[in-house]
Amino acid sequence: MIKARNITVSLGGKKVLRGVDFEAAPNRFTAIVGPNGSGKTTLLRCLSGELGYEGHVLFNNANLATLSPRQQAQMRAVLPQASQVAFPFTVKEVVALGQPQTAGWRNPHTASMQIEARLAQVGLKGFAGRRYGALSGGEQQRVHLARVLHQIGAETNESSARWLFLDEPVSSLDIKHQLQVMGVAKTFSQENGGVIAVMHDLNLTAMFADEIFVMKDGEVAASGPPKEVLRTKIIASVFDCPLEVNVAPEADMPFVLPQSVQFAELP
Amino acid sequence: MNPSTLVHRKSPIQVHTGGQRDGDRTQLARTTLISLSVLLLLSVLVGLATGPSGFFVKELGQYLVGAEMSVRDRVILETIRMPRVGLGILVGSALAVAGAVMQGLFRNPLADPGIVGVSSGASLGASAVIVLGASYLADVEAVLGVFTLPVAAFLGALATTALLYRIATAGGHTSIATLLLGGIAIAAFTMALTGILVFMADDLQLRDLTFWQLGSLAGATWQKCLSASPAILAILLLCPFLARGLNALALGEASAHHMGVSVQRFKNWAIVAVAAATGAAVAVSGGIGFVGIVAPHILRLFMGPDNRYLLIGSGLLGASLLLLCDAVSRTIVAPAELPIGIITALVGAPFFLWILLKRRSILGG
Repeated sequence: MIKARNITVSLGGKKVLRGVDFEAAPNRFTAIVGPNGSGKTTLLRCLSGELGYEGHVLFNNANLATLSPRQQAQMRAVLPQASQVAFPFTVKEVVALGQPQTAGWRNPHTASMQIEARLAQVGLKGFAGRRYGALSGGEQQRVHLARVLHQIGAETNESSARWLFLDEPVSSLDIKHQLQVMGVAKTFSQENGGVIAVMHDLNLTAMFADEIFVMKDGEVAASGPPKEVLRTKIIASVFDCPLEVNVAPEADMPFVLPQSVQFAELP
Repeated sequence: MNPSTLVHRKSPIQVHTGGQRDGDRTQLARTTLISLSVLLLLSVLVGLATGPSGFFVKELGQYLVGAEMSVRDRVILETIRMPRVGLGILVGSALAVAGAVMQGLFRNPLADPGIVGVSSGASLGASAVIVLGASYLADVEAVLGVFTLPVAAFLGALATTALLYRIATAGGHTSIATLLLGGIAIAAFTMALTGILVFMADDLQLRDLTFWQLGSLAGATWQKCLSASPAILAILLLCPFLARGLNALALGEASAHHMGVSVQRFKNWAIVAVAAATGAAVAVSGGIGFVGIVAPHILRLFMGPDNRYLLIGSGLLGASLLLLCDAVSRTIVAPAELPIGIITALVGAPFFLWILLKRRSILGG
């Protein structure tokens, strides 16, 4: 369980988060959506221990502020929006960097098989020997997904829940790989632990999220399951854009098409 | 989807994967480390055998098996060549490891203590001791003894490295342009201060300064080895710890934090390590440049950038390179001796440019 209470963050004199309450449960896919600059990524950076904050974050029953980076790394892995790799590593080596520092000695063959399996999971089977720098942006993003899965996905005897934090995981991917990556995250949430994802695509959010937090101007504007949160009134007001939310009859799932915009009402 | 159909890039890329199809270069790295150890052993033998008083092959053999030999040859081996080889190993490994650590810290293969002004900072500290040691710093020298020079050089190097990091890194991002330009400014400033010291120096000190600044292993003694060894050995022992952090840092500071590294603390350690290794090396050998660029670069091309092998490998290769350069410096104009700093710069600078050009072509520029 992750519980954040009354989180306030100031960056450069501006309050980026104002008294945010946030909760995420294990075995759930929790999405954070909202317009640009609403504080989504800032909230995620607080939860991953990167930013100082006022307020209180309870992380698997421990106070986040008292956990060392190493303890945090055992409980959660973070996929950033974009990563740069400084030296000519191979794909396999990048994934291997995710190996937990506490893992101790591992049978090299087993570790190697695990890495291959992670790569296959994100649709990069056969890419192990390629040089990371020679891959496309979308392929690189998936290499990092394999890396964070390698960090957090392995079987352990630890009883506490493990978490996958994703910051716009599909923004540089084509539609097939968007669905694939969301599927990998969903599977993780069902089998291994909790997922917290900052999302831009409302339809993918509707499709995969169990809980949605909608942020606006550093505050939580709405929260709940997709069908409660993805409503015309909420979406139109939060995004300040006259959109209409519809419901796909077969899947009973909300969707928002940009075609529904009322241009006349666009501010 | 068949990945092989997606490969339309040719040889330059292949060089970087070391030809390993499965992307795992661990075995290659281990083999390389063993070969480098053998190379170092051979370099030590070459270093012991070379010198103005003759190429000691038979003598070295006699010494090693403990056979009878002339007193003169024994003295030459024990009091001239052995400390010199010892100092070469210490300085070469320190410079190469300092280069590799700095490149990992700044996430750029062009960072090197010699190029970005850290050595100039160390020089300033050391020059201060050479010029002011008998007057203003007499009290300090009385306390620190043989360690005065390394400690002063370390402080100079530490100040410049920390300053440089502050200048070049903002918000977890290091700008290489700021790093290089900031390094030029810092080097200019410290060299101006060194210039003031040179201006104040008397004739004898001036001679010391000039020879020392050119960079040389000449005049190596066991005492010099002793004064440099604590710092350098400490850094070499720290390598495994540094390697993990540097590997994580290759993905950026935020990712390193996500992977469990206490980034700020680690960076402080790495900066101190670079400064200590550079300071100790500069204190006993002066301005020997480019070892820290050449050794890690060759190894990255050959076995990949994994710091767990790169740091140790750089230490071994740096030591070998310096011993071999030193052997050349002692024979090329024998019986005189060319300062080794000139040789490493003559070899290293074109090498640096070559890598720059090669890198540019790989980056598609």
